[in-house]
Amino acid sequence: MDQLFEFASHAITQFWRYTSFPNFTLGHVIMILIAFLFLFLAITKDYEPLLLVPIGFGILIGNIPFMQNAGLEVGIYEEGSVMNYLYFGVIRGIYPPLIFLGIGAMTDFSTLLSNPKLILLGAAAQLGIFGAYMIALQLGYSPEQAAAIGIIGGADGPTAIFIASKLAPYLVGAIAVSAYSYMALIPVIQPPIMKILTTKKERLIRMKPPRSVSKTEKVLFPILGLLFTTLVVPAAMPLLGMLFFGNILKESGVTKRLADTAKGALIDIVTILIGITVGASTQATTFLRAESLGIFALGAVAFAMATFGGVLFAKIMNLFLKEGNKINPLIGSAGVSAVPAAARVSNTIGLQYDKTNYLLMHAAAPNVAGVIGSAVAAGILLSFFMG
Amino acid sequence: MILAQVQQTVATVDSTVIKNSGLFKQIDPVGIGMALIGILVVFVALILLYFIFMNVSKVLNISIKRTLRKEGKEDEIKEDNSIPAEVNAAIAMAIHLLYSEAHDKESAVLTINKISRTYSPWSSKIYGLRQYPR
Repeated sequence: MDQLFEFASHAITQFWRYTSFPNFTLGHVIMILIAFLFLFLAITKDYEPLLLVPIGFGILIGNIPFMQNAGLEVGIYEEGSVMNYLYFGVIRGIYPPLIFLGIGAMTDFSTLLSNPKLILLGAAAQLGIFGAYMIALQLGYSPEQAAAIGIIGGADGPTAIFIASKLAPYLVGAIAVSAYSYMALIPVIQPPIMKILTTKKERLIRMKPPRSVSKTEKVLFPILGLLFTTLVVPAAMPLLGMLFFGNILKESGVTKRLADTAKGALIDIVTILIGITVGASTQATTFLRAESLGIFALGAVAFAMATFGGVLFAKIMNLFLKEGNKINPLIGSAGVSAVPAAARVSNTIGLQYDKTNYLLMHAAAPNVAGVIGSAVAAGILLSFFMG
Repeated sequence: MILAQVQQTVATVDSTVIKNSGLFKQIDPVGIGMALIGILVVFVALILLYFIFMNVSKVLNISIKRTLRKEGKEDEIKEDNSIPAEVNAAIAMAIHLLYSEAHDKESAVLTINKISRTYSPWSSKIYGLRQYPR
Protein backbone atom coordinates (compact mmCIF):
# COMPACT_ATOMS: atom_id res chain seq x y z
CA MET A 1 0.00 0.00 0.00
CA ASP A 2 2.81 2.35 0.98
CA GLN A 3 4.55 1.53 -2.27
CA LEU A 4 1.44 2.36 -4.27
CA PHE A 5 1.03 5.64 -2.41
CA GLU A 6 4.66 6.53 -3.02
CA PHE A 7 4.29 5.71 -6.73
CA ALA A 8 1.10 7.78 -7.00
CA SER A 9 2.68 10.77 -5.29
CA HIS A 10 5.75 10.50 -7.53
CA ALA A 11 3.54 10.29 -10.63
CA ILE A 12 1.50 13.31 -9.53
CA THR A 13 4.66 15.31 -8.82
CA GLN A 14 6.05 14.32 -12.19
CA PHE A 15 2.79 15.29 -13.92
CA TRP A 16 2.74 18.62 -12.04
CA ARG A 17 6.21 19.41 -13.38
CA TYR A 18 4.96 18.78 -16.88
CA THR A 19 1.96 21.12 -16.52
CA SER A 20 2.20 24.80 -17.37
CA PHE A 21 1.78 26.08 -13.81
CA PRO A 22 5.32 25.55 -12.42
CA ASN A 23 6.76 26.91 -15.70
CA PHE A 24 4.76 30.15 -15.70
CA THR A 25 6.75 33.39 -15.66
CA LEU A 26 5.76 37.05 -15.68
CA GLY A 27 6.81 37.15 -19.31
CA HIS A 28 4.19 34.55 -20.23
CA VAL A 29 1.51 36.57 -18.46
CA ILE A 30 2.51 39.72 -20.34
CA MET A 31 2.47 37.92 -23.68
CA ILE A 32 -0.92 36.34 -22.97
CA LEU A 33 -2.27 39.83 -22.16
CA ILE A 34 -0.85 41.08 -25.47
CA ALA A 35 -2.64 38.20 -27.21
CA PHE A 36 -5.90 39.26 -25.51
CA LEU A 37 -5.33 42.82 -26.73
CA PHE A 38 -4.82 41.62 -30.33
CA LEU A 39 -7.94 39.47 -30.20
CA PHE A 40 -9.91 42.32 -28.64
CA LEU A 41 -8.81 44.81 -31.32
CA ALA A 42 -9.58 42.34 -34.08
CA ILE A 43 -12.93 41.06 -32.86
CA THR A 44 -14.52 44.12 -31.28
CA LYS A 45 -12.82 46.97 -33.16
CA ASP A 46 -12.52 45.13 -36.48
CA TYR A 47 -8.83 46.16 -36.84
CA GLU A 48 -7.36 43.89 -39.55
CA PRO A 49 -9.11 40.79 -38.13
CA LEU A 50 -7.76 38.47 -40.84
CA LEU A 51 -4.27 39.10 -39.51
CA LEU A 52 -4.73 39.95 -35.87
CA VAL A 53 -6.90 36.92 -35.01
CA PRO A 54 -4.34 34.34 -36.28
CA ILE A 55 -1.42 36.33 -34.80
CA GLY A 56 -3.21 36.91 -31.48
CA PHE A 57 -4.15 33.26 -31.19
CA GLY A 58 -0.63 32.29 -32.26
CA ILE A 59 0.75 34.40 -29.40
CA LEU A 60 -1.48 32.41 -27.04
CA ILE A 61 -0.22 29.12 -28.49
CA GLY A 62 3.39 30.26 -28.31
CA ASN A 63 3.12 31.37 -24.72
CA ILE A 64 1.58 28.37 -23.05
CA PRO A 65 4.50 27.46 -20.80
CA PHE A 66 5.85 23.92 -20.83
CA MET A 67 8.86 22.14 -19.49
CA GLN A 68 11.78 23.02 -21.73
CA ASN A 69 14.16 20.29 -22.95
CA ALA A 70 11.78 17.53 -21.90
CA GLY A 71 11.55 16.20 -25.43
CA LEU A 72 7.88 17.09 -25.74
CA GLU A 73 8.42 18.59 -29.21
CA VAL A 74 5.69 21.17 -28.81
CA GLY A 75 7.48 24.54 -28.91
CA ILE A 76 7.93 26.40 -32.16
CA TYR A 77 11.69 26.50 -31.69
CA GLU A 78 11.93 22.77 -30.86
CA GLU A 79 13.13 20.71 -33.80
CA GLY A 80 10.59 18.14 -34.89
CA SER A 81 7.53 19.91 -33.50
CA VAL A 82 4.57 20.57 -35.79
CA MET A 83 4.84 24.30 -35.19
CA ASN A 84 8.52 24.15 -36.05
CA TYR A 85 7.71 22.54 -39.40
CA LEU A 86 5.10 25.21 -40.12
CA TYR A 87 7.54 27.94 -39.05
CA PHE A 88 9.91 26.69 -41.75
CA GLY A 89 7.85 28.64 -44.28
CA VAL A 90 8.57 31.84 -42.37
CA ILE A 91 12.27 31.40 -41.71
CA ARG A 92 12.93 30.26 -45.28
CA GLY A 93 10.84 33.08 -46.73
CA ILE A 94 8.37 30.74 -48.48
CA TYR A 95 5.08 32.25 -47.29
CA PRO A 96 5.64 35.92 -48.26
CA PRO A 97 5.99 35.29 -52.02
CA LEU A 98 2.88 33.09 -51.91
CA ILE A 99 0.97 35.92 -50.25
CA PHE A 100 2.25 38.24 -52.96
CA LEU A 101 0.86 35.83 -55.55
CA GLY A 102 -2.57 36.20 -53.97
CA ILE A 103 -2.23 39.99 -53.69
CA GLY A 104 -1.32 40.16 -57.38
CA ALA A 105 -4.39 38.11 -58.30
CA MET A 106 -6.59 40.42 -56.20
CA THR A 107 -5.18 43.77 -57.23
CA ASP A 108 -6.61 45.93 -59.95
CA PHE A 109 -3.86 48.17 -61.23
CA SER A 110 -6.15 50.11 -63.56
CA THR A 111 -6.29 53.24 -61.37
CA LEU A 112 -2.51 53.31 -61.47
CA LEU A 113 -2.47 52.81 -65.22
CA SER A 114 -5.01 55.57 -65.76
CA ASN A 115 -2.81 58.07 -63.93
CA PRO A 116 0.77 56.72 -64.00
CA LYS A 117 2.32 59.75 -62.29
CA LEU A 118 0.76 58.57 -59.01
CA ILE A 119 3.23 55.67 -59.05
CA LEU A 120 5.84 58.16 -57.79
CA LEU A 121 3.95 58.53 -54.51
CA GLY A 122 4.56 54.82 -53.95
CA ALA A 123 8.28 55.52 -54.25
CA ALA A 124 8.26 58.59 -51.99
CA ALA A 125 6.57 56.70 -49.14
CA GLN A 126 9.54 54.32 -49.00
CA LEU A 127 11.33 57.15 -47.19
CA GLY A 128 10.04 55.43 -44.04
CA ILE A 129 12.18 52.35 -44.72
CA PHE A 130 15.43 54.20 -45.26
CA GLY A 131 14.77 56.82 -42.58
CA ALA A 132 14.13 54.13 -39.98
CA TYR A 133 17.27 52.32 -41.19
CA MET A 134 19.36 55.39 -40.40
CA ILE A 135 17.80 55.87 -36.97
CA ALA A 136 18.23 52.18 -36.11
CA LEU A 137 21.92 52.42 -37.01
CA GLN A 138 22.30 55.36 -34.66
CA LEU A 139 20.67 53.35 -31.88
CA GLY A 140 23.35 50.71 -32.21
CA TYR A 141 21.65 48.04 -34.30
CA SER A 142 23.86 46.29 -36.84
CA PRO A 143 23.29 47.25 -40.51
CA GLU A 144 21.40 43.96 -41.19
CA GLN A 145 19.19 44.45 -38.13
CA ALA A 146 18.63 48.10 -39.07
CA ALA A 147 17.60 47.07 -42.59
CA ALA A 148 15.23 44.41 -41.27
CA ILE A 149 13.69 46.92 -38.85
CA GLY A 150 13.51 49.70 -41.44
CA ILE A 151 11.40 47.56 -43.78
CA ILE A 152 8.53 47.89 -41.27
CA GLY A 153 8.15 51.38 -42.79
CA GLY A 154 7.00 49.76 -46.01
CA ALA A 155 3.82 48.81 -44.14
CA ASP A 156 3.90 45.42 -45.76
CA GLY A 157 3.78 42.39 -43.47
CA PRO A 158 4.96 39.73 -45.96
CA THR A 159 7.85 41.92 -47.16
CA ALA A 160 8.89 42.63 -43.56
CA ILE A 161 8.87 38.90 -42.77
CA PHE A 162 10.75 38.10 -45.98
CA ILE A 163 13.55 40.57 -45.25
CA ALA A 164 13.75 39.78 -41.54
CA SER A 165 13.96 36.05 -42.27
CA LYS A 166 16.95 36.70 -44.54
CA LEU A 167 18.80 39.41 -42.62
CA ALA A 168 17.90 38.95 -38.95
CA PRO A 169 16.00 35.65 -38.48
CA TYR A 170 15.95 35.96 -34.68
CA LEU A 171 14.00 39.23 -35.00
CA VAL A 172 11.27 37.87 -37.29
CA GLY A 173 8.66 37.63 -34.52
CA ALA A 174 9.18 41.15 -33.20
CA ILE A 175 9.37 42.69 -36.68
CA ALA A 176 6.29 40.86 -37.97
CA VAL A 177 4.19 41.66 -34.91
CA SER A 178 5.32 45.28 -35.05
CA ALA A 179 4.55 45.57 -38.78
CA TYR A 180 1.10 44.00 -38.51
CA SER A 181 0.23 45.97 -35.37
CA TYR A 182 1.02 49.27 -37.01
CA MET A 183 -0.79 48.21 -40.19
CA ALA A 184 -3.86 47.65 -38.06
CA LEU A 185 -3.30 51.05 -36.47
CA ILE A 186 -3.00 52.95 -39.75
CA PRO A 187 -6.35 54.73 -39.18
CA VAL A 188 -4.87 56.05 -35.91
CA ILE A 189 -1.29 56.82 -37.00
CA GLN A 190 -1.76 58.50 -40.37
CA PRO A 191 -4.57 61.10 -39.99
CA PRO A 192 -2.78 63.48 -37.59
CA ILE A 193 0.31 63.57 -39.83
CA MET A 194 -1.85 64.09 -42.93
CA LYS A 195 -3.68 66.98 -41.28
CA ILE A 196 -0.51 68.65 -40.00
CA LEU A 197 1.15 68.56 -43.43
CA THR A 198 -1.77 69.82 -45.52
CA THR A 199 -3.82 73.01 -45.70
CA LYS A 200 -7.62 72.98 -45.87
CA LYS A 201 -7.43 74.21 -49.46
CA GLU A 202 -5.22 71.26 -50.41
CA ARG A 203 -7.54 68.75 -48.72
CA LEU A 204 -10.41 70.04 -50.87
CA ILE A 205 -8.61 69.47 -54.19
CA ARG A 206 -10.78 67.49 -56.57
CA MET A 207 -8.83 65.22 -58.84
CA LYS A 208 -9.54 64.58 -62.50
CA PRO A 209 -11.67 61.44 -62.97
CA PRO A 210 -9.58 58.46 -64.08
CA ARG A 211 -9.70 57.40 -67.71
CA SER A 212 -10.80 53.94 -68.75
CA VAL A 213 -7.95 51.45 -69.18
CA SER A 214 -7.87 48.95 -72.03
CA LYS A 215 -7.40 45.23 -71.49
CA THR A 216 -4.15 45.34 -73.49
CA GLU A 217 -2.68 47.82 -71.01
CA LYS A 218 -3.76 45.66 -68.10
CA VAL A 219 -2.16 42.56 -69.62
CA LEU A 220 1.03 44.42 -70.53
CA PHE A 221 1.41 45.84 -67.02
CA PRO A 222 2.50 42.65 -65.21
CA ILE A 223 4.85 41.67 -68.05
CA LEU A 224 6.56 45.03 -68.45
CA GLY A 225 6.32 45.73 -64.73
CA LEU A 226 8.20 42.54 -63.91
CA LEU A 227 10.85 43.11 -66.57
CA PHE A 228 11.62 46.71 -65.68
CA THR A 229 11.58 46.39 -61.91
CA THR A 230 13.50 43.14 -61.59
CA LEU A 231 16.06 44.22 -64.19
CA VAL A 232 16.90 47.07 -61.82
CA VAL A 233 16.59 45.01 -58.61
CA PRO A 234 16.79 41.24 -59.32
CA ALA A 235 16.89 40.53 -55.58
CA ALA A 236 13.22 41.48 -55.42
CA MET A 237 12.36 38.66 -57.87
CA PRO A 238 10.64 36.31 -55.38
CA LEU A 239 8.22 39.03 -54.31
CA LEU A 240 7.74 40.95 -57.55
CA GLY A 241 7.75 37.79 -59.68
CA MET A 242 4.88 36.34 -57.70
CA LEU A 243 3.03 39.66 -57.49
CA PHE A 244 3.06 40.18 -61.25
CA PHE A 245 2.43 36.49 -61.92
CA GLY A 246 -0.71 36.68 -59.78
CA ASN A 247 -1.74 39.79 -61.67
CA ILE A 248 -1.35 38.24 -65.11
CA LEU A 249 -3.45 35.28 -63.94
CA LYS A 250 -6.18 37.81 -63.19
CA GLU A 251 -5.83 40.10 -66.18
CA SER A 252 -5.18 37.54 -68.91
CA GLY A 253 -8.78 36.41 -68.56
CA VAL A 254 -7.90 32.86 -69.58
CA THR A 255 -6.75 31.52 -66.22
CA LYS A 256 -9.73 32.38 -64.08
CA ARG A 257 -9.51 29.14 -62.09
CA LEU A 258 -5.87 29.74 -61.18
CA ALA A 259 -6.55 33.37 -60.30
CA ASP A 260 -9.48 32.34 -58.13
CA THR A 261 -7.30 29.83 -56.26
CA ALA A 262 -4.46 32.33 -55.82
CA LYS A 263 -6.71 35.07 -54.44
CA GLY A 264 -8.95 32.70 -52.52
CA ALA A 265 -7.94 29.38 -51.01
CA LEU A 266 -4.18 29.77 -51.42
CA ILE A 267 -3.81 33.20 -49.85
CA ASP A 268 -6.19 32.20 -47.06
CA ILE A 269 -4.18 29.08 -46.24
CA VAL A 270 -0.89 30.96 -46.27
CA THR A 271 -2.35 33.81 -44.20
CA ILE A 272 -3.48 31.31 -41.59
CA LEU A 273 -0.05 29.62 -41.51
CA ILE A 274 1.96 32.84 -41.47
CA GLY A 275 -0.29 34.44 -38.85
CA ILE A 276 -0.33 31.54 -36.44
CA THR A 277 3.42 30.81 -36.73
CA VAL A 278 4.51 34.43 -36.47
CA GLY A 279 2.28 34.78 -33.41
CA ALA A 280 3.66 31.58 -31.88
CA SER A 281 7.22 32.73 -32.53
CA THR A 282 6.78 35.45 -29.91
CA GLN A 283 7.61 33.14 -27.01
CA ALA A 284 8.17 35.27 -23.93
CA THR A 285 11.71 33.93 -23.52
CA THR A 286 12.76 35.11 -26.99
CA PHE A 287 10.40 38.04 -27.53
CA LEU A 288 10.43 40.06 -24.31
CA ARG A 289 13.70 41.89 -24.66
CA ALA A 290 14.71 45.54 -24.80
CA GLU A 291 15.51 44.87 -28.47
CA SER A 292 11.83 44.15 -29.20
CA LEU A 293 10.73 47.38 -27.52
CA GLY A 294 13.23 49.26 -29.67
CA ILE A 295 11.79 47.57 -32.78
CA PHE A 296 8.27 48.66 -31.80
CA ALA A 297 9.38 52.26 -31.29
CA LEU A 298 11.27 52.28 -34.60
CA GLY A 299 8.29 50.74 -36.37
CA ALA A 300 6.11 53.68 -35.32
CA VAL A 301 8.78 56.13 -36.49
CA ALA A 302 9.05 54.28 -39.82
CA PHE A 303 5.29 54.47 -40.41
CA ALA A 304 5.21 58.15 -39.55
CA MET A 305 8.12 58.90 -41.89
CA ALA A 306 6.51 56.91 -44.71
CA THR A 307 3.30 58.94 -44.35
CA PHE A 308 5.34 62.14 -44.21
CA GLY A 309 7.27 61.18 -47.37
CA GLY A 310 4.13 60.40 -49.38
CA VAL A 311 2.17 63.52 -48.42
CA LEU A 312 5.14 65.83 -48.83
CA PHE A 313 5.98 64.42 -52.26
CA ALA A 314 2.40 64.94 -53.41
CA LYS A 315 2.74 68.59 -52.39
CA ILE A 316 6.03 68.86 -54.28
CA MET A 317 4.44 67.30 -57.37
CA ASN A 318 1.65 69.88 -57.19
CA LEU A 319 4.22 72.65 -57.63
CA PHE A 320 4.88 71.34 -61.14
CA LEU A 321 1.35 70.33 -62.14
CA LYS A 322 -1.12 72.54 -63.98
CA GLU A 323 -4.43 73.58 -62.43
CA GLY A 324 -6.94 70.81 -63.02
CA ASN A 325 -4.23 68.13 -62.89
CA LYS A 326 -3.30 68.75 -59.26
CA ILE A 327 -3.12 65.90 -56.77
CA ASN A 328 -4.96 65.93 -53.46
CA PRO A 329 -2.00 65.46 -51.08
CA LEU A 330 -4.15 63.32 -48.79
CA ILE A 331 -3.60 60.43 -51.20
CA GLY A 332 0.18 60.70 -50.68
CA SER A 333 -0.11 58.83 -47.40
CA ALA A 334 -1.53 55.86 -49.32
CA GLY A 335 1.92 55.34 -50.83
CA VAL A 336 2.63 52.89 -48.03
CA SER A 337 1.71 49.41 -49.15
CA ALA A 338 -0.98 48.61 -46.59
CA VAL A 339 -3.69 47.74 -49.12
CA PRO A 340 -6.46 48.89 -48.87
CA ALA A 341 -6.32 50.35 -45.35
CA ALA A 342 -4.15 53.34 -46.30
CA ALA A 343 -6.34 54.21 -49.31
CA ARG A 344 -9.41 54.03 -47.10
CA VAL A 345 -7.83 56.46 -44.64
CA SER A 346 -7.17 58.97 -47.45
CA ASN A 347 -10.79 58.64 -48.56
CA THR A 348 -12.16 59.04 -45.03
CA ILE A 349 -10.10 62.15 -44.30
CA GLY A 350 -11.05 63.64 -47.68
CA LEU A 351 -14.74 63.07 -46.94
CA GLN A 352 -14.40 64.88 -43.60
CA TYR A 353 -13.69 68.09 -45.53
CA ASP A 354 -15.91 67.56 -48.58
CA LYS A 355 -18.65 64.99 -48.36
CA THR A 356 -18.74 64.51 -52.12
CA ASN A 357 -15.00 64.25 -52.78
CA TYR A 358 -14.32 60.51 -52.96
CA LEU A 359 -10.58 59.90 -53.08
CA LEU A 360 -10.70 56.11 -52.82
CA MET A 361 -10.11 55.39 -56.52
CA HIS A 362 -7.28 57.93 -56.71
CA ALA A 363 -5.68 56.70 -53.47
CA ALA A 364 -5.74 53.11 -54.72
CA ALA A 365 -3.07 54.05 -57.29
CA PRO A 366 -0.28 55.06 -54.87
CA ASN A 367 -1.42 52.26 -52.58
CA VAL A 368 -0.72 49.53 -55.15
CA ALA A 369 2.41 51.39 -56.26
CA GLY A 370 3.51 51.18 -52.62
CA VAL A 371 3.36 47.38 -52.83
CA ILE A 372 5.76 47.48 -55.78
CA GLY A 373 7.90 50.19 -54.13
CA SER A 374 8.33 48.31 -50.86
CA ALA A 375 9.23 45.10 -52.73
CA VAL A 376 11.84 47.04 -54.73
CA ALA A 377 13.19 48.56 -51.50
CA ALA A 378 13.35 45.06 -50.00
CA GLY A 379 15.33 43.89 -53.02
CA ILE A 380 17.77 46.78 -52.59
CA LEU A 381 18.34 45.90 -48.94
CA LEU A 382 18.89 42.25 -49.84
CA SER A 383 21.35 43.18 -52.59
CA PHE A 384 23.35 45.26 -50.15
CA PHE A 385 23.38 42.99 -47.14
CA MET A 386 23.14 39.41 -48.34
CA GLY A 387 26.80 39.30 -49.29
CA MET B 1 38.72 63.52 -52.01
CA ILE B 2 35.85 61.65 -50.38
CA LEU B 3 35.63 59.33 -53.38
CA ALA B 4 39.31 58.52 -53.06
CA GLN B 5 38.85 57.76 -49.36
CA VAL B 6 35.89 55.50 -50.13
CA GLN B 7 37.85 53.72 -52.87
CA GLN B 8 40.74 53.22 -50.48
CA THR B 9 38.45 51.86 -47.77
CA VAL B 10 36.77 49.53 -50.28
CA ALA B 11 40.15 48.29 -51.44
CA THR B 12 41.31 47.71 -47.86
CA VAL B 13 38.09 45.95 -46.97
CA ASP B 14 38.19 43.85 -50.14
CA SER B 15 41.62 42.64 -49.21
CA THR B 16 40.52 41.62 -45.72
CA VAL B 17 37.27 39.98 -46.96
CA ILE B 18 34.72 41.52 -44.64
CA LYS B 19 30.99 40.90 -44.97
CA ASN B 20 28.89 43.62 -46.60
CA SER B 21 27.48 44.76 -43.28
CA GLY B 22 30.98 45.35 -41.93
CA LEU B 23 31.76 47.29 -45.07
CA PHE B 24 28.71 49.47 -44.60
CA LYS B 25 29.60 50.09 -40.99
CA GLN B 26 33.03 51.30 -42.01
CA ILE B 27 32.11 53.39 -45.03
CA ASP B 28 28.68 54.65 -44.04
CA PRO B 29 28.26 54.57 -40.25
CA VAL B 30 25.37 57.06 -40.32
CA GLY B 31 23.52 55.24 -43.10
CA ILE B 32 22.94 58.36 -45.20
CA GLY B 33 24.68 56.89 -48.25
CA MET B 34 22.66 53.70 -48.11
CA ALA B 35 19.43 55.69 -47.59
CA LEU B 36 20.15 57.97 -50.54
CA ILE B 37 21.13 55.11 -52.85
CA GLY B 38 18.11 53.09 -51.73
CA ILE B 39 15.53 55.81 -52.26
CA LEU B 40 17.18 56.75 -55.56
CA VAL B 41 16.96 53.17 -56.87
CA VAL B 42 13.30 52.88 -55.79
CA PHE B 43 12.58 56.12 -57.69
CA VAL B 44 14.52 54.95 -60.75
CA ALA B 45 12.57 51.66 -60.88
CA LEU B 46 9.21 53.35 -60.49
CA ILE B 47 10.01 56.31 -62.78
CA LEU B 48 10.88 53.71 -65.41
CA LEU B 49 7.42 52.19 -64.97
CA TYR B 50 5.88 55.68 -65.08
CA PHE B 51 7.50 56.49 -68.43
CA ILE B 52 6.60 53.13 -69.90
CA PHE B 53 2.94 53.27 -68.96
CA MET B 54 2.69 56.95 -69.77
CA ASN B 55 3.65 56.06 -73.34
CA VAL B 56 2.05 52.63 -73.66
CA SER B 57 -1.44 54.15 -73.63
CA LYS B 58 -0.40 56.72 -76.26
CA VAL B 59 1.09 54.04 -78.51
CA LEU B 60 -2.00 51.87 -78.11
CA ASN B 61 -4.26 54.83 -78.90
CA ILE B 62 -2.32 55.60 -82.07
CA SER B 63 -2.54 52.00 -83.27
CA ILE B 64 -6.28 51.83 -82.48
CA LYS B 65 -6.87 55.09 -84.41
CA ARG B 66 -4.85 53.77 -87.36
CA THR B 67 -6.88 50.54 -87.42
CA LEU B 68 -10.16 52.43 -87.24
CA ARG B 69 -9.07 54.78 -90.03
CA LYS B 70 -8.13 51.79 -92.21
CA GLU B 71 -11.54 50.31 -91.57
CA GLY B 72 -13.18 53.63 -92.41
CA LYS B 73 -14.67 54.05 -88.95
CA GLU B 74 -13.23 57.50 -88.33
CA ASP B 75 -16.36 58.68 -86.56
CA GLU B 76 -15.71 56.08 -83.81
CA ILE B 77 -12.38 57.66 -82.86
CA LYS B 78 -12.75 59.20 -79.43
CA GLU B 79 -10.28 61.86 -78.39
CA ASP B 80 -11.28 61.66 -74.77
CA ASN B 81 -11.29 58.21 -73.21
CA SER B 82 -12.10 59.28 -69.70
CA ILE B 83 -14.81 57.41 -67.84
CA PRO B 84 -18.22 59.01 -68.57
CA ALA B 85 -19.66 61.21 -65.84
CA GLU B 86 -22.67 58.93 -65.30
CA VAL B 87 -20.38 55.94 -64.64
CA ASN B 88 -18.45 57.98 -62.09
CA ALA B 89 -21.73 59.09 -60.53
CA ALA B 90 -22.83 55.45 -60.24
CA ILE B 91 -19.50 54.46 -58.65
CA ALA B 92 -19.70 57.40 -56.22
CA MET B 93 -23.28 56.46 -55.32
CA ALA B 94 -22.28 52.83 -54.72
CA ILE B 95 -19.42 53.92 -52.46
CA HIS B 96 -21.71 56.35 -50.64
CA LEU B 97 -24.29 53.60 -50.07
CA LEU B 98 -21.57 51.25 -48.88
CA TYR B 99 -20.22 53.75 -46.38
CA SER B 100 -23.59 54.89 -45.12
CA GLU B 101 -24.67 51.24 -44.94
CA ALA B 102 -27.88 52.05 -46.78
CA HIS B 103 -28.19 48.55 -48.19
CA ASP B 104 -31.23 46.53 -49.03
CA LYS B 105 -30.82 43.93 -46.28
CA GLU B 106 -33.88 43.58 -44.14
CA SER B 107 -34.37 42.37 -40.64
CA ALA B 108 -34.23 38.61 -40.41
CA VAL B 109 -37.18 38.60 -38.02
CA LEU B 110 -40.25 37.68 -40.03
CA THR B 111 -43.67 38.33 -38.60
CA ILE B 112 -47.13 37.42 -39.80
CA ASN B 113 -49.65 40.01 -38.86
CA LYS B 114 -53.14 38.80 -38.30
CA ILE B 115 -55.59 41.11 -40.04
CA SER B 116 -59.21 41.02 -38.89
CA ARG B 117 -61.86 42.09 -41.36
CA THR B 118 -65.59 42.19 -41.06
CA TYR B 119 -67.37 39.34 -42.90
CA SER B 120 -68.25 39.93 -46.52
CA PRO B 121 -69.65 37.27 -48.90
CA TRP B 122 -67.53 38.87 -51.67
CA SER B 123 -64.35 37.65 -50.08
CA SER B 124 -65.75 34.57 -48.36
CA LYS B 125 -63.74 31.45 -49.02
CA ILE B 126 -66.78 29.21 -48.94
CA TYR B 127 -68.19 30.78 -52.12
CA GLY B 128 -64.88 30.57 -53.87
CA LEU B 129 -64.65 26.78 -53.56
CA ARG B 130 -66.21 24.51 -56.11
CA GLN B 131 -68.97 22.56 -54.53
CA TYR B 132 -69.68 19.27 -56.21
CA PRO B 133 -73.28 17.96 -56.13
CA ARG B 134 -73.61 14.71 -54.16
